[in-house]
Amino acid sequence: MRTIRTVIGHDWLLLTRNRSLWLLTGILVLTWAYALYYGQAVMSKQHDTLTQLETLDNSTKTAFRSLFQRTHRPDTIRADGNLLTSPLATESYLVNNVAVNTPSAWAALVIGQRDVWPQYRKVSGRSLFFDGNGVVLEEAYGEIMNPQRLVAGNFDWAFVLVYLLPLLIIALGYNVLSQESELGTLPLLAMLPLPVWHLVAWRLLFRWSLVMGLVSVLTIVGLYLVGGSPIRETGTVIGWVGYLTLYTGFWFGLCFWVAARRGTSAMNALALLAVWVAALFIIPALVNAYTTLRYPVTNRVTLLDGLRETTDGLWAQPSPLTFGPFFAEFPQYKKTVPDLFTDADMQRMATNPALRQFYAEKFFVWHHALSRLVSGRYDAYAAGRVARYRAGDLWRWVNPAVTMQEALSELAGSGYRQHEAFQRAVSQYHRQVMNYSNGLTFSAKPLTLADYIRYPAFALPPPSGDDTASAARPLLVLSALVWLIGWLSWRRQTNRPV
Amino acid sequence: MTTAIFQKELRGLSRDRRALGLAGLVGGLLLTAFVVSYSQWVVRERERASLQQTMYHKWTHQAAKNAHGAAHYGTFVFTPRPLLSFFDPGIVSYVGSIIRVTAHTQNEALYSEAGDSGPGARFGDFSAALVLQLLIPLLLIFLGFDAVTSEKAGGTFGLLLTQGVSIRTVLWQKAGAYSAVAGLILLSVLGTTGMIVVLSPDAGSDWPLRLLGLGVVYGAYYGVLAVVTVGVSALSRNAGTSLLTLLGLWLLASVGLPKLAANVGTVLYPLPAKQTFMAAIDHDFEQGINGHDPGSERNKRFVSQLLQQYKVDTVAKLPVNADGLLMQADEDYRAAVTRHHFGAVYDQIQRQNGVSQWLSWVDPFLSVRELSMRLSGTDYAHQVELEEQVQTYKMKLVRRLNTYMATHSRTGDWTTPAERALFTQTPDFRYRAPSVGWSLADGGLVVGSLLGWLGLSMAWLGWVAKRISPL
Repeated sequence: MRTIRTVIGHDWLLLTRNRSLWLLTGILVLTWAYALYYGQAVMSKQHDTLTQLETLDNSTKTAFRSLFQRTHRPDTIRADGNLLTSPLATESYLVNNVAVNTPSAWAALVIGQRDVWPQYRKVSGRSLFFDGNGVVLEEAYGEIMNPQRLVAGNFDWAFVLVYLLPLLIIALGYNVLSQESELGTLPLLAMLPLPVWHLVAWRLLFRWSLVMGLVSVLTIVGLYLVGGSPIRETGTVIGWVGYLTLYTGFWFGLCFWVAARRGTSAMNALALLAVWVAALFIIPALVNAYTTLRYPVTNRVTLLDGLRETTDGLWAQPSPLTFGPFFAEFPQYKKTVPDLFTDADMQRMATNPALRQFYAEKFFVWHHALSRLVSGRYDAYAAGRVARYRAGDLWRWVNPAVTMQEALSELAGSGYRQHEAFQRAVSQYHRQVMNYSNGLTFSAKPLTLADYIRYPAFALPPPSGDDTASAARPLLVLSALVWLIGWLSWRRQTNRPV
Repeated sequence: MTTAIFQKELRGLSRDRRALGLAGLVGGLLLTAFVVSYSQWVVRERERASLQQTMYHKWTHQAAKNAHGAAHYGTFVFTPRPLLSFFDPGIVSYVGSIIRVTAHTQNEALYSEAGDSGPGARFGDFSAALVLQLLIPLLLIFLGFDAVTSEKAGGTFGLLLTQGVSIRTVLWQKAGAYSAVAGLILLSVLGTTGMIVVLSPDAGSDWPLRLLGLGVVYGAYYGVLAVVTVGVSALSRNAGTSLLTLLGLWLLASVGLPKLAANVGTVLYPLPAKQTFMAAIDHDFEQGINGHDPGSERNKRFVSQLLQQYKVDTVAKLPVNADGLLMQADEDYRAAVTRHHFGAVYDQIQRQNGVSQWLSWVDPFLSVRELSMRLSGTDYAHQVELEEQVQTYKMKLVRRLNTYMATHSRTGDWTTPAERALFTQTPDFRYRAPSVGWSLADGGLVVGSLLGWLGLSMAWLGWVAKRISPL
């Protein structure tokens, strides 16, 4: 044990006297500071947009309720004839109702795909596929982005950890043994009462713990600086540090393996950098190519076309065709409806309450019919998209950098699982809102303030632990594997002279 | 002047197993890149052509309907990928592939590859450009980091000088040898690209110029890299320092600064939130004619002007369908509004990209990336041009339909179906790819920076030659 303490103490002296390493550590801290600033700037803008939408939503609802309270009676509040107490008026006024995928503080540390994917969706009693401007899918809610900036990528803390941290590890580990050999001090070390590979392993483990200490502290301080609470979010902090341990373990394991080959420092550096280039550029790009070829999203075109074909002439078709399937699904609303709603009916609607009631019912049934008619195509499209998201999972065992990026993204709520969960929650919420609107519409009673207050609210369930932990196994296996191969390489040369 | 050092360097490289191994690896990667990226291009283009044909068939065979109803029914344009996107995909994975063509709205291109993918998509596309921009520079560094340090360490540097060769000549010829290696790889890449282009349909006529441009751009870049590699090696005390310095520079130039430049551009020239952008468009729409709101004052004024123009007192006596003309006035107004707002966003994005162009004076990688995308037709300007062509197509299509409605029916008639010929004789969308001159227009800044880097790096190597000692 004393020998190990001596080795570690000596290693500490070596490291602290190495100016290049101090420089690299300084660069890491500088990049950390910039990454925090950048991540916070991107997420602040997203926060502002989402807050603006929620404020607009809340102020519309508040104004609507207060107007209702002031009037205390059914009253005309719009010149075009919509009534405060009509479900259709609710639809018009609550059109700003939003479901929001609010980013956590962690998202400033790992932006993931949050800058590409839409982070909110307007939800009303209408079909999710049709807003005031026509046919729409969720992608239409994506923010305006500069594609050349997207190509360049985000300089967030995850980028520093996934791309740059391995370089610091390589700088710390490429000459862990070869330097001794080149300086002629290896025979002296060989006189120590422990095998050379123990010496190398202890040195690397010590350096690994230093790196982990540094990046863990930077992460926790970073989280605090971007507005998160490391104490309240201990679980995520532990998950983050756990993933970092596995990922850095993989790179230190490589150094251990390469050291066993007893090459020169330059050859070791070349070998490690070749792995870095492969892991960060070549393998991910090849996996991306495989994914796009294997999982084309052509079924989206089928969906878009289906939406176009469905909306074409749907309003004009006779009522039994539109209302029939609706009444079959909701027998409680079944009633006799006129066959057609003509342009002349439209003109007479303002003075004819029965026509107005029928128009409101037809409006919501039309939207219901649209959703129903394309639901099969939408499910196929959604399944294709999920299959594509998950295609990368198959390659996790050979793709440590992307696995790490995805793991951090999931922890921060910036990954595809969170995005999928948001999409599912939006669909469920939309069903709630649609059922609520249908109930109000077919009750044919004037709405009360309580009806507005009971308007369903959106809630996004927290991500499950299984989702956030799913990348742990491949990273653990990869990390263990390189250490194991390194150990076997060392064992094969136990008799080799130093 | 003898070229003995140049020849010796090349001979040394050809005998170096490390160099041969690395060159073989790069060659394998290039081959894979060509197979993968061209397969992707072929699959996507087949898919696009098939979808475009299907949608066009649906348009020409659509159910009988009123002409303006057909404008609402609309169609889709599937954005074509430039042929050279298999060489350098540029932004194609990050821009939408489908544009809805329909009355009253200008729809943006939606549904990008990146949007359909997980976070792994942000690690980039595999292509020849990836290899040329990131890996060949690394190859040059690995081959040349000890170009001078090894001579010094082995004591052969002084021997060379005793033969009457100047330090300047040694450095130049070594840089020349590494440039020649890179040039050879570049030639084989461009030759392969050229063969693929020749064998592809719709290759266009200016591809030789584009390939020549790519050759000049990458050639100049490798010239800079070879000179810098030899210069750093000459200034370094040992091979390790040289390697670390060069790798640090590579990392900064190829990974760090490009991200930083893009991020700084975003901060300096922020884009509006989508919600704000759409609200501004909606606000401006409300200030003009809305064809589907017959009760509005503007519409009434428009109809009243029509009555005066045709010298009649009621719309029933008009020889044209006022609704059709109103729809077209609505379309023209909305097109002007959207052009104004979308134009402001395009300009702001170009300002953001301008930051990277200015920073190319600090980092030549940014020039190469920009020029490579331009010459491959995969930069942002090409995307804007494509979307503008789609918008022009849409305007012509909707104008044709509205004009038909105005001239083939009477005011108030929204139901009489248009003749089938109106649909069957509609031309399909055809993208006209811009010329190479268009692609390089406004590129003076990046071309200048690359040439500037070449000139300055050469001058710097001359300075290094004077500064270093022979021992």
